[in-house]
Amino acid sequence: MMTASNPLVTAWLDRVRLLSAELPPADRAELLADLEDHLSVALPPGVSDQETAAVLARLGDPADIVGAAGGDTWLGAPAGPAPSAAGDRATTGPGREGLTLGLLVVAGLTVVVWPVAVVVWIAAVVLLVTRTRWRGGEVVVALLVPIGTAMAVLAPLAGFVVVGSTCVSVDGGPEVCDGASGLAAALPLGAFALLLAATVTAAVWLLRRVRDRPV
Amino acid sequence: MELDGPDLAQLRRGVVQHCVLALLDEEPLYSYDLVTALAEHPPLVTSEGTIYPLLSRLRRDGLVTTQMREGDAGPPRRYYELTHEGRHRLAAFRTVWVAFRAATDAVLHTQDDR
Repeated sequence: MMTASNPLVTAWLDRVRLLSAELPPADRAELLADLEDHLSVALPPGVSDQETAAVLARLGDPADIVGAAGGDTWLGAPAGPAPSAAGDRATTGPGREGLTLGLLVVAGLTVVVWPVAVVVWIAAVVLLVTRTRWRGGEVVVALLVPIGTAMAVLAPLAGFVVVGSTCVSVDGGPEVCDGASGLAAALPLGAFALLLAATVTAAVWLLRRVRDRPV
Repeated sequence: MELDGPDLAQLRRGVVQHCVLALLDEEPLYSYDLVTALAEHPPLVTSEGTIYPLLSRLRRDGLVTTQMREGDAGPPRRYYELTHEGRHRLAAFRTVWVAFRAATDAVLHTQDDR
């Protein structure tokens, strides 16, 4: 093609080819054919480099164009995040993910009132599967959130049981615990802190994952 | 502050495809002419190149169809035209748009009172 002889055009088309490698082959071929056809019309032989640059500028950034072909993000802003084809789930923003995460946490927190926990958990899982943009491993991590929260709630309770059994109160005097019970109290506390940190980290990670994802 | 980036993209969503259908309302258009005609309205599109994937999607959705036509010179050109379904969609959108625009103007106080 005549336009391919211009290094500006060659470089631009090469960038489109590079970025579009992930597209389905048929879509990619059609896109490249459309763009080459456009360039062949817009750039008659002998056109100046200045005019060539202007034509390429009007066509736009190859990243935007490939992004447009990659999903329903084709209207994406030039400086926008990397487009994703996974944006077709029905959501209206991060609200759905936040609500789902909140319900998952509540399901874990209410573990001692298990009928409530079960109802909340079911609602959260339905939301998780049908209305959020989380996929694959993210769903698994989200499912671990109520488990982590529940264990964080249960860990101190278990601690009280252990401590209670090893501390004695003599004749109504102050409670006396032996040396071993100090360790017994520290273990559930440590587990509690660890689980809490892991759950909070998972929650933050999950929300960050969808922050820049198209709705 | 100008509205740009993701906010403008949100605004375009669902609108621009119907503008493409409207451009094809009168007659079939060569893809290049269609793209450059739409790109004359800057708020509607990011760039000319991003329109091509939209055209492909409209075709996959059955709202437009394409045919290759021989030109005066050079290789055959891809022409786009509305399908029956595309015409229906355009008519429906025009009705909705009038109500949508009126409602938005009323809320935003952007009615043209001249």
